[in-house]
Amino acid sequence: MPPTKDADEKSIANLVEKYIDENDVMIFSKSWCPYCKKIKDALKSAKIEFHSIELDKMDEGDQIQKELFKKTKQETVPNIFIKQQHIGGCDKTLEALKSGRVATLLNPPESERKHKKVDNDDLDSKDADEKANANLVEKYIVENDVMIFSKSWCPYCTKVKDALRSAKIEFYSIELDKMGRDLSLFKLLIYIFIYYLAEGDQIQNALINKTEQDTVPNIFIKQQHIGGCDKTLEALKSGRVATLLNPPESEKKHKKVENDDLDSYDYDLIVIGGGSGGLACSKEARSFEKKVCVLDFVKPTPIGTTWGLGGTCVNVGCIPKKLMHQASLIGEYVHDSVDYGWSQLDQARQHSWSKMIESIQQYIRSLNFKYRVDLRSKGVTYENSYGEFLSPHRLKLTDKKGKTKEITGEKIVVAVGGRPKYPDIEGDQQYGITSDDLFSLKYDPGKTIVVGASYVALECAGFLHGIGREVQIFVRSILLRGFDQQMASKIGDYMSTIGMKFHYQRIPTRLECLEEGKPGKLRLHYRQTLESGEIEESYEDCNTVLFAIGREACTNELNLDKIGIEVNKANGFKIKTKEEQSIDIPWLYAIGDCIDEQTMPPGQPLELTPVAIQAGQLLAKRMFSNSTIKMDYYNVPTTVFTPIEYGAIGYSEEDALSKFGEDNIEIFHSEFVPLEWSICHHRDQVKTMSYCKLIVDKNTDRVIGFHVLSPNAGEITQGYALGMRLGATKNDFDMTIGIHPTCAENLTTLSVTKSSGDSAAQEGC
Amino acid sequence: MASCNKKLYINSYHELKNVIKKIEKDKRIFVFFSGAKDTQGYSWCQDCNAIEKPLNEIVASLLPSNGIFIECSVGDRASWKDSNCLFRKDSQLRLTNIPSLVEWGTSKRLTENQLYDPDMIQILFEDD
Repeated sequence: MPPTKDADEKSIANLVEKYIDENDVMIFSKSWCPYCKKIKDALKSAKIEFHSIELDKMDEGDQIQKELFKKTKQETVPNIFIKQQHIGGCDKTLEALKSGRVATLLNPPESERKHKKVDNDDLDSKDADEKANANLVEKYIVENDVMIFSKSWCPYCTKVKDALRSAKIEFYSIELDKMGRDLSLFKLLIYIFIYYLAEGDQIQNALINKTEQDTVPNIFIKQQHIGGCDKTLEALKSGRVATLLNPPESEKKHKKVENDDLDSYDYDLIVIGGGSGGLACSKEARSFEKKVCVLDFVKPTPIGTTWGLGGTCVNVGCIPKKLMHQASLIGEYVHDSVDYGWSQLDQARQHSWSKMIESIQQYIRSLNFKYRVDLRSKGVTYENSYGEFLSPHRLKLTDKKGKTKEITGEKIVVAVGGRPKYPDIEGDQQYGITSDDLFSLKYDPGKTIVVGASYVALECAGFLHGIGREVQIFVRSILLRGFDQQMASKIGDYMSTIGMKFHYQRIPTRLECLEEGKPGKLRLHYRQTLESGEIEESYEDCNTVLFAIGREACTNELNLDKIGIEVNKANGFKIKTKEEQSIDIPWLYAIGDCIDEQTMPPGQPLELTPVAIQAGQLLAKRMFSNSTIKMDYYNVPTTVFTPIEYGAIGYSEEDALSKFGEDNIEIFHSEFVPLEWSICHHRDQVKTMSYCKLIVDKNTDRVIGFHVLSPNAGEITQGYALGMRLGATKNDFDMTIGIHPTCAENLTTLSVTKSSGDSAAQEGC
Repeated sequence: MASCNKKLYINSYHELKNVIKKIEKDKRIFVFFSGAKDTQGYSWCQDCNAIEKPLNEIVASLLPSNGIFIECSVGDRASWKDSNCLFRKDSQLRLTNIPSLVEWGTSKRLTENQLYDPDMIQILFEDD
């Protein structure tokens, strides 16, 4: 007789109960279900074993699903139970994983466990025993720099001991399987009273109480719990063992205060900041299969501008800047076109700000998307949250909606970059904008005053002028502080010649809004020091004021003080590092614009994307493998994308003179005319302004400074950077055959020196 | 959430362009490109068959409220492999492989194995 419906249901119910009882982690799943796959992947990552059955592949699958609904009111898969407790579906289980609830369910803490052991035994004598064992364990840990609780037959214990011997690190170990009353170690004589009570098992219990680790080998170094074989090998590799045994000066000071380390961490690496440096470092770390999290959050500008993943370069730096520079160059080519035979292009020429912004922003958004997908496909966890330190290794994350959570990282890299400064005058944040706003500005900026003489100021002024907007530049003292000043003044000459107005010694004092609008009408009040020495106060009216007076690192709101790091205004709030590691905290690293790095050449800080990227990648390699390759901050090529571009590698003339002395250097230079400009009437006044120079160390003939002012200087300089890296001499440059006709070839034919006093004007074709 | 959105089934390039023209400007349009199905409902494209159920599940739960989901067939194998295929030649779309999920009017797209990952799809659906 076929079983009745009731009997059927009962047997299904029993089957479900059996699955739930017999498996610590039970997943009722379906083979094609993506959420089932997601939660299984997450559990595998967390090294949590589970059992799952695929209901779509079972005859009774439907009935089981019905029974689950009866039991839990949940009709979907995955349906998950842990230690017989119903957790829920994918989201609820992920939540439980993250909050630690899963761990707690699978490994109930001490108090619960003690409770379990103590049945009918006399509590008093058990307590005394446990106390004695705990004391014994402490004695071992304190008296030995490297202490291994081991078992003689355990292969992992053997493995880690061999590794330590190879590394010539002395250790002390006791074999818990051989401990008991018949043990005859020398130390037995000393601790015989305690020993009489102690057995290997009890010591192992004491270790479990202390470290929540129930396996051997259980290893302590300088009283810090390291873990088992794998963790100790890892610590050996990463240099942590060496550091613990031989702490450098600053760490010794730090140790007196408090033991920073935690027993376990959510992540091997947390990177704060998803810009050029942060993304490169995090992805590189993944190639060592570390658990990595990247935090990225953009605090909106005073007028509300924000942007997506990728940092300054992608969103409000290099990328949109270069595209707008290109927009202005195209405008210039249109002027050139007449002499090349094109007709009417010039008359028809007009520029739409909104169309340019639309094209550029669409591209930037595609990059934001690409980076999100890239992080995901490389297995980097991404949190769109603002991170702040709560205590060593621990960060509080706050998302867009204000929701918070905490995460811990064994190593943390700060890559928060910087943001533009405001001058701290009335109306600055209310009515003024910075580069953060300019590249997505929803309205034509119109007549613009650029305040500042940084490369940002000059590049922005340059392309705004190039696309046809009236531009004035307010300079406090000199152009491009930190750069070669001869080159800086040539840039200034070029820009004034093509129509931009520079006002020197002019400092803004107040920004007033005359009329609201997009753009509105603004009045910028200023104080000007005249040539006579008098001070004049006046104002200039315009549509837009762009502040580009410098940038500061975004370290102020990280709560760095909670981990013992101070930053101050004197160096732009940057974090002091040596080889990208904090000089105060060994587990804290930093890369990119936010660092004050000891191994960088003094003077001009290298706030550049490629620098941050390479530093980040090399750092990840050093953190997670036995690489020792350090970042080389010397001979980093740079280019300023002003209307006439300026490329440089190595020393400025001022720095070379001060370091080597006038007698030890020779400077070769030449003006030249870019062939493409030679037939263009509209370039008449500027065509001889291209210029290049090489600074040579007389004693070695090595070229120590490379400078070129020319169209396409960026492309030119990149190629020569390879030569500089390989230590090229002036003779190497001379023996390199040029490509004709180019601007770049001029670097191969320099013969006139500054010291000769001869004219640097170009000869020949 | 997603329940109130119609799913649209499109079978040709021209039909796709016409339908999209008529959609309100404030909507975000997501188009899933796959190989044509036979009368049994199976496509000549194996990957497309495998992805269908999981993808529909994910889209059903993650599609934003202002999102429209369109399933568009690129035709039979021969039409798709032809370099003159209109989906390949469209200057904005430039479709190169199927199955693909694309946000129309942007360069954002996911293909093949990426489509099995709900987190990836979430990235595509996220508002800028």
